Amino acid sequence: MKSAAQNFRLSAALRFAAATALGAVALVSASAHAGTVSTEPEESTVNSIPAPKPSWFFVQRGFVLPGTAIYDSATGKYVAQIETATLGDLAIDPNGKYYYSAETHWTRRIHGTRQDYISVYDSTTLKFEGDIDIPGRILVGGREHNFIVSDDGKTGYIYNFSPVSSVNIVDFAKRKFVKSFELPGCADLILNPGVGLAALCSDGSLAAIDLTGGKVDITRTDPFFSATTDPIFDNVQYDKAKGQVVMMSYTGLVYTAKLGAKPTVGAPFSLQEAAGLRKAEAKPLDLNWYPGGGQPTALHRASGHLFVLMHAGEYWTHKDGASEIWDVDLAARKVVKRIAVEGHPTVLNVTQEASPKLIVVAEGEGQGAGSGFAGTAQVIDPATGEIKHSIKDAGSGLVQLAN
Amino acid sequence: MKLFNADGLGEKVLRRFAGGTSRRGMLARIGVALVAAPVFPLLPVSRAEAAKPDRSPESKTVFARNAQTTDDTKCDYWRYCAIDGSLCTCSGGGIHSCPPGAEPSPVSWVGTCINPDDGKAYLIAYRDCCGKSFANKCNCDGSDRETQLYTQQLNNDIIWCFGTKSMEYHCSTAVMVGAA
Amino acid sequence: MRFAGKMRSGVKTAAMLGAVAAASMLILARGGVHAAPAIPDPHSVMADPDQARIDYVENCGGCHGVAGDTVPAHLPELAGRVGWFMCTPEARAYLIRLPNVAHSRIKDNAELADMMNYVVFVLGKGTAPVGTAPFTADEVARERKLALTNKNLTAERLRLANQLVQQCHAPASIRQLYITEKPGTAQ
Repeated sequence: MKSAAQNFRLSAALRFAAATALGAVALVSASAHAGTVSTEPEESTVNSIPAPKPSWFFVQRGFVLPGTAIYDSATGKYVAQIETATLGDLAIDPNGKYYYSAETHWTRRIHGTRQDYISVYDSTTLKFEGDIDIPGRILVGGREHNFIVSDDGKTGYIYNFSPVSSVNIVDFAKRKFVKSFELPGCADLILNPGVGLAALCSDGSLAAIDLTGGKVDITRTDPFFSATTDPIFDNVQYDKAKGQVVMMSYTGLVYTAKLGAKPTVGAPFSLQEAAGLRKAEAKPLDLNWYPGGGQPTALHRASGHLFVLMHAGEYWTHKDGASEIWDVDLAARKVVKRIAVEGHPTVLNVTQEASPKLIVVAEGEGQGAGSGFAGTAQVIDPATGEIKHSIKDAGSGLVQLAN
Repeated sequence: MKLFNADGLGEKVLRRFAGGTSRRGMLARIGVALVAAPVFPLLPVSRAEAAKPDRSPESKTVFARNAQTTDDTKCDYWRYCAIDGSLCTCSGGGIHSCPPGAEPSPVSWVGTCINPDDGKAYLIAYRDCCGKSFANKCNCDGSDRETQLYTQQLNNDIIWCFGTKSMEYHCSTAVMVGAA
Repeated sequence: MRFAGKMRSGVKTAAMLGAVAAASMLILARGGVHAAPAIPDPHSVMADPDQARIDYVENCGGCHGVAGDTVPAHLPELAGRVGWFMCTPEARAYLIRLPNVAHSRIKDNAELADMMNYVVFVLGKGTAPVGTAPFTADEVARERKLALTNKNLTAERLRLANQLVQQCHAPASIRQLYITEKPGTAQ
């Protein structure tokens, strides 16, 4: 107020008035006030957002922080935060109308009665619409295949491990839990159109779970991989249009399976051989390029290109962050490009746009001994390897897309 | 680099960053210098019975070659070859003790790690301490022989708090439960 | 120890290796307490008891407990109880057909048989009926091909537990996952 008075050379009385509650009246009458702020009290409003766009990506804030941030890969700009829980799972309605957050809490924060439920949020207002109670869910986080939604948006499937292995079925139209069924020895739920679900199993097979007609009938392919010496990563890539799932093992073997009542799995090819290198092995003291991360693969469905986070090292380093992203033409079984990346990202996704964008997130370097805090997300053009946007403190967990 | 060049892959490239995708979100670094002829502890002469599993590959991983046996608050302590989480040893607990107020989970997964002093494999039960908020001290994420969710008994990302009053994850222990 | 096993005079451990048909069932005293040998000599039912124990701890001990007990976790308590499942052919087969057993990374069937004999005879602490023949490699090879991958295992276990109660006079508590589980909470 003092400087205003100086600027406008008001009389002492007016200066005093300006400093008091009556100052507002005095100032209004001092019409030559620079930087005028309308003093009409504002109303608090609430923003809304569009339905999810193909350029959006959803990144969890990390192991210790609740919430999932939405960013637009086209602009690098922050959109909003979806309420999700630590160790929770987010699923996005394929019709773009809702965000579903599967969560687990106790009535007294961390003790009391355990509660598992799916919270439903309207996708444009992000308003909470209600909870769907479920009997339980696996507590692990960081994966896309523990909570999936059918292509028509009507049914949700939530994997549970209590430690009995089972699946909960939820009706999203009625917003009710329907039933659960046991799924011995398998996990990683994959949609299987016309049938129900598919899943990976510990005997190295792919299970088809026939849920038609209200039954539960589980059959398995013959084993085609070793779950203990060269496991297939949890983050398999479902391709609805082709009715396929693309899978990758720790040594970088890429398998494509045709889904259905009796899935068939094609012969794999080696990523390293596709890059003109010696094939990697599941044995020690063998230097090579290996895939790694919690979300090491991303399939761009329209073009049939698989992107993979790769690092140089030895076997059993399947959680290591990447120094390169390999662009694999699946039909040709060739690595067509190798893109250098910074920050050793461990999560990767790719937008399904005609000109796709890669999203990588590296873990944040926390203070002291801890971490799990938000790290840097980068939007990379796979055609050129150029970093289009670099977003600090974006997150450190899974990156998801809305279909 | 376009061509695989073993000579070009020196210390810089082979620096191993443990904990890339840790659910706990850590970045513990283990510097590794790969020598042309790595020295690893010799395992004892194979036992008489043919059915004994051959564990020699286990002693040859990056982790096993660089493990130490003196400081259990560091990620390269030999028992942590596949631990994922905060070390209870840094949070008022011990290698097989939970910090006060936390409860050890009776259910866990069991891995094997090589003790570099004798070259032998030991069974390690990675029992989580549960019922308190995440300790977030000394986060480590080893992955020797750790697999994915469909083989739950060999996965270290799952919150192994079953049979406890609360499933809130606090920290992890590495309990020696036998010779392998 | 839940069962105070006492050696019945005259029963020798060698009898365990006799050609006792797996299908033979013995009527046991009500209340589930055997007046029968508790734990047979390990070497009479396992080729390599040490390896069998190591295999158990490594492959099963995480969930089922180093000593067969992780109560109150929600899974079957083995200690002092699992031997009952050797009492009927179906329940005996079930132990090998469980996916975690059938699909064990132990590929050698003799080694897996040894491990399951450790479970049944050592962890089971005398609950296997007198004269129970140990699992054999051939039996394991045969049964593990019939893994129960398309079953509700909880319901199947309960169905077999009812069999054990009715046919073998197993204690009613065998229906529960563990003895102190509240009855009727079986899902």
